[in-house]
Amino acid sequence: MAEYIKFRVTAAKAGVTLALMALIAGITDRAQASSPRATASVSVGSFLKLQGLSSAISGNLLKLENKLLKLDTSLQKIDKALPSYLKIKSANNTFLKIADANAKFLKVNDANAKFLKIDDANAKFLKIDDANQKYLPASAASSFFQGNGNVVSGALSSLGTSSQQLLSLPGGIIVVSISNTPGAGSLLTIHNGTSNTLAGAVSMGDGSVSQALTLKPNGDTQLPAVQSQAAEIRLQIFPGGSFTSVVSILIGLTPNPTTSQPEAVAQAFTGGV
Amino acid sequence: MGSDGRIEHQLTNPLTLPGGRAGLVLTGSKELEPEARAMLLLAEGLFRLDITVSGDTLRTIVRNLSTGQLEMTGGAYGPDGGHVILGEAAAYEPARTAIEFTLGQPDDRVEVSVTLATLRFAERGTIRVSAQAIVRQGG
Repeated sequence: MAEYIKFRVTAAKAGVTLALMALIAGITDRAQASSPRATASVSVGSFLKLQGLSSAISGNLLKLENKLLKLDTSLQKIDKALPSYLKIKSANNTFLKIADANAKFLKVNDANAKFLKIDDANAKFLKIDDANQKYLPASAASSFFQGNGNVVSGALSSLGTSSQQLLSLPGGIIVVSISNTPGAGSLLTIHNGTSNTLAGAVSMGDGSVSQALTLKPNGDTQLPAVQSQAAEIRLQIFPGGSFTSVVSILIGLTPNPTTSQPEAVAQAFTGGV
Repeated sequence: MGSDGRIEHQLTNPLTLPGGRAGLVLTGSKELEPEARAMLLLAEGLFRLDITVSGDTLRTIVRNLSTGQLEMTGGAYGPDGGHVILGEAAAYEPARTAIEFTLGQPDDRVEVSVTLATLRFAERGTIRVSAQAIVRQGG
């Protein structure tokens, strides 16, 4: 663009030069015949008369005239090319400066480093529609585990005064926790993670008859404390509401020969009705 | 068996099944030494389930106490099921299996699903076998 402007200034200078030359009496005769630009700026009556001039002067004038013709041809070419060039003002309105682009847009290299290509995403990730078709929603997992004949095994090698989780059915629908306080015995807590009130029965393994239980929805129920270091507790939870499984939980407490504290081992069974 | 007729290692309760059918749930466990045979579950008038552990094999023996035919179902290895092992329980080498059978007179059949699981107590040299049986009155 700067080159184009420079060329226009040169062309203007050439025009002024032509006008001055036209003021010299009788100079522009042959130049007028082949130069439309000269025609525009020089009066028709002012033509170059070569008669009476020495051959040296007339020769130099002819050379000058030829150069003017070439310059004129170049100017015509530029005039023709003008529609192909864009003015700076128009360019500013239409195009973004590189500095602004850098500030406002992410370069392709940076995008490659920061973002995942669609092909890679398709190769590595599961589409939501496919996931819905192929997998069971987490909310339904607890229902799935309520089918026939499933087992969960859990163990704690050392019981402490704070309650620890002994086992949990998938989805946390039933969770058994236990703590042991010297002198107070072992305390078992049953968490009912369903939204149903569940009936149950428990045998504490101390020779007493089994007791009925009611497990509150989304709540904890504490079993009677077990004073003995060795005991076998049996618990049954019956179906209720949307909970359609029978759950049996067997919890064994035995003294740990290393720590002399009780250890707990449990297995839970689920079966659908 | 206790003086009141209860089997001390077993908890038995009635179930109400869909459609108003009657049912039972039996839960029991026994810790036994290898090669010993023990009664694990007893459903009066229906069946008795005995077990023997030999090496890594758990053998189940179903004694039919009903007046009808007993038929094993559920395939050679019993019905499928899941087994989730949490935390330190892996040290006890827990295992799971299941059996299914039907028994009783043709007009009064019951279906029985038994899920069994084992835990090995290496320092005591014993195996604890636990089970849950669900008895369903035929539809």
